[in-house]
Amino acid sequence: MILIIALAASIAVALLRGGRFAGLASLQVRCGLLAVLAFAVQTLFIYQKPVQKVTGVWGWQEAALMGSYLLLLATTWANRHLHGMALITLGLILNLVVMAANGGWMPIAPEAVRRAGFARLAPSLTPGMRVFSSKDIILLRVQTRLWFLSDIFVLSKPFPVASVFCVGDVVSALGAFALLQKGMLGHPGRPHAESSQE
Amino acid sequence: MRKVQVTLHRLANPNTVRLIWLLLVLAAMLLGIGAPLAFGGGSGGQG
Repeated sequence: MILIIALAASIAVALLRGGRFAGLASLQVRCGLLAVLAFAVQTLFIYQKPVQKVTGVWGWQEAALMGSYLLLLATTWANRHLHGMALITLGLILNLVVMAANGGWMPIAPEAVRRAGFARLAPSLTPGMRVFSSKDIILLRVQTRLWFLSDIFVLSKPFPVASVFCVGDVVSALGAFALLQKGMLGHPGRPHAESSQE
Repeated sequence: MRKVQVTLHRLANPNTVRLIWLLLVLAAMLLGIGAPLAFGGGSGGQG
């Protein structure tokens, strides 16, 4: 959710800076269907009833989730010509690495779940429990490999939308920000692509 | 009626379609990369 807010904020900043949507429309997106397919695959797991997992044991769900990240990686590679895509890819790889190192799910500490007010999204906060509407699995800090790359940042009240995110999310958000600014503001000294409503 | 026609024409415009597609792909990419936690709003979205 925090990434969608970042996306909306990036568009708002670009509009305030005089950017135009017509500039974005001129960007060539390749293999976009792969990204949509990857997220569709993930939603199957994101919205399933949270269950206790045996940490470190890979099943077909973990393999499919990792596969969806490979689809995303293929999409970012196909779109590497776009400004900011390198950062988006870096964020993706950071998340992929920490998830692969922790049994295929994004680790989150019980304290982070509690602080964000998401405790009701998991039947219990015991290690190995999945968290509803996320790709997260509850793990203690001492159990988490590459802890610094896991979901460690918490936004809670008074921030209007509570959220938990990680370094990879921040890097990807910065990439999306760069892409939207460049796309909407166009190249310096070059006119924006005009829409056909001229 | 005219306004609706103009809006529909704009939506069918290839540039608009490309823009919507780009935003959709970017959103799918970001949600796919990151944690969509908080779709339930932290308000017990287990249903």
